[in-house]
Amino acid sequence: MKNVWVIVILSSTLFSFDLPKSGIKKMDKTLAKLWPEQIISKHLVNISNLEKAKLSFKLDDKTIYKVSNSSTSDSYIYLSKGFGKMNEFDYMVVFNKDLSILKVKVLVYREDQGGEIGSNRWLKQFSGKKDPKEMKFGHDIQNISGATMSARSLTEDVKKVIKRMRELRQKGIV
Amino acid sequence: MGIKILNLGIGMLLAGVLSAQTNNIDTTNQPLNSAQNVLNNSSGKKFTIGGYGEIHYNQGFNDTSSTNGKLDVHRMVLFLGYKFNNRVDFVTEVEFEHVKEVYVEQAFMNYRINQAFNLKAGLMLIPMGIQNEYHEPTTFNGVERTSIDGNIVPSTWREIGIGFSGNLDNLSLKYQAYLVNGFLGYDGGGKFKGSNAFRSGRQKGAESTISSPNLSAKVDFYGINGLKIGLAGYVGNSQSTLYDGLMNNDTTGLAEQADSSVVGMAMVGIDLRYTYRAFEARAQVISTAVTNTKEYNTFTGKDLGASMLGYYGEVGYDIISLFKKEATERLVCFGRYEFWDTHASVTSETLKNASYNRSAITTGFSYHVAKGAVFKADYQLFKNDAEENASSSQFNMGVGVWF
Repeated sequence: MKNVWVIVILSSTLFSFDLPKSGIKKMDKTLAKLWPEQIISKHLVNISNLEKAKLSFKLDDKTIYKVSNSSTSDSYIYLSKGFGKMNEFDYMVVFNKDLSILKVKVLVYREDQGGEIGSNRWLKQFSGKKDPKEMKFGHDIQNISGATMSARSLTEDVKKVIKRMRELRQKGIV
Repeated sequence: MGIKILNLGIGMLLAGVLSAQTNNIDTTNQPLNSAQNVLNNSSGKKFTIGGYGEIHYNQGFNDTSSTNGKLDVHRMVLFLGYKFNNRVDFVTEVEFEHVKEVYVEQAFMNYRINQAFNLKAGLMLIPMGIQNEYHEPTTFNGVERTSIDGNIVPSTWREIGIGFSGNLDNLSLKYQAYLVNGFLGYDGGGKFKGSNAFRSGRQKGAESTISSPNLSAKVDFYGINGLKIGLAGYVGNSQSTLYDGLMNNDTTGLAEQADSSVVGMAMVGIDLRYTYRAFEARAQVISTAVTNTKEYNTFTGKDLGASMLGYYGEVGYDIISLFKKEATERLVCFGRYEFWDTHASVTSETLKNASYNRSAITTGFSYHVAKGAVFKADYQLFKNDAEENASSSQFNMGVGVWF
């Protein structure tokens, strides 16, 4: 019986979102800026394997956080990855309780080309968006010259994340 | 109970995966050739394989004679990137030009200290203007690259060097600053000339000669959505083989000859790119000042200008978006005016050549049939100051891919 529990721990370690320390630091800093001078608590949303099995997509551990603060209702963070020319990058989407986007932030960018997508001004385009249909790349979300691959990848991935959060809401998980 | 069974299932699966990984480690201790390495690592995304290519048809026209057309596999470039870890990448691009010429277009290591600070070293593109860095055929309109990015910015301009680059998110700025090798201006004979300035002096990292390193830097601002503005600078001296073996206390006049075989140069470029939905525009100004041209031209018998100026403006519109917002295909119709003068000024020993004061009007379309695949066609009308009432023209067609 002990062996079984050891393996379960391994499973949660191997299939979890592996965000480097610098990314975690950036995430916390972003939250502090979103709700200045407030006590913010951030904790992982625990989703059982049974619940995961009912989802139409594979959900890694350490992907979704619930954020509480003293002034507004709860928010959620979804951690995800995009891909530039030759390397993946980590980013987060902060959702309002109604699953509209409060903020998108690039947390770890790993290549020289395409780092322009970290621009806060460019990322503001996603704020308030709720429907993937309102996020056509090059139309609703403007491109950045010289960073097209990363910008397109991020846009497409944010759409995917919205759809996933909607499903999680439908199933009463968030 | 159900949960426990599920967990056990995952655990068994994992045990299998771990076991398989262990086996892999055993086998990868065997010597592997490059191809095996690529195959073994591609699934782990350590390797990235890509490329771009462009195949052109050019048909010139003039009033006095017939002109043969040209069909050319202008460029085929294979991109290979290898990720050593989350901080260290190696990027290469191997280029076949006109089928028979092979070059290494880029080969540099990037060490990411953090998002704002990357150390780069190797054969790198010089950041000047738009197309020298972003020249994949799906990223610009027109079958051929702009004439400024050939005759003033000698695209594809790359040299070996070392430097830093990074993005500052809060300021929406990208910076690049490199110490690089310069153009070779003399290797037994002068290499620079009036018609295309420094183009023949590119060393491309092939057993290149260095006598004095140059500085190249660029800052891009992208804080206004859809707009990107770049300011680039390049300063330094050209290289000369005459410094090799020159005695420090030379009194034979060889030092003077060596000094006459180099020029100093300062190039400044401003570029902007703007897109708003179906509309796109771009512009670029490049100005170059050259020193020591009198001595260089007298010594080598060349006609290098003392300054060069070039600029262009281009607008385009995706017509398909008028009818279908969700279309994946794009049909961009565009028009461009371009001016470049490689004899904007000359020193007294050189006669100003009016035929180097040139302009071109280009109109055409880029039909993007898929992300990374484009058909292009355009018509170009060329003029120069030496033939005020005459002009030549060229029709171009091409396919371009980038993957």
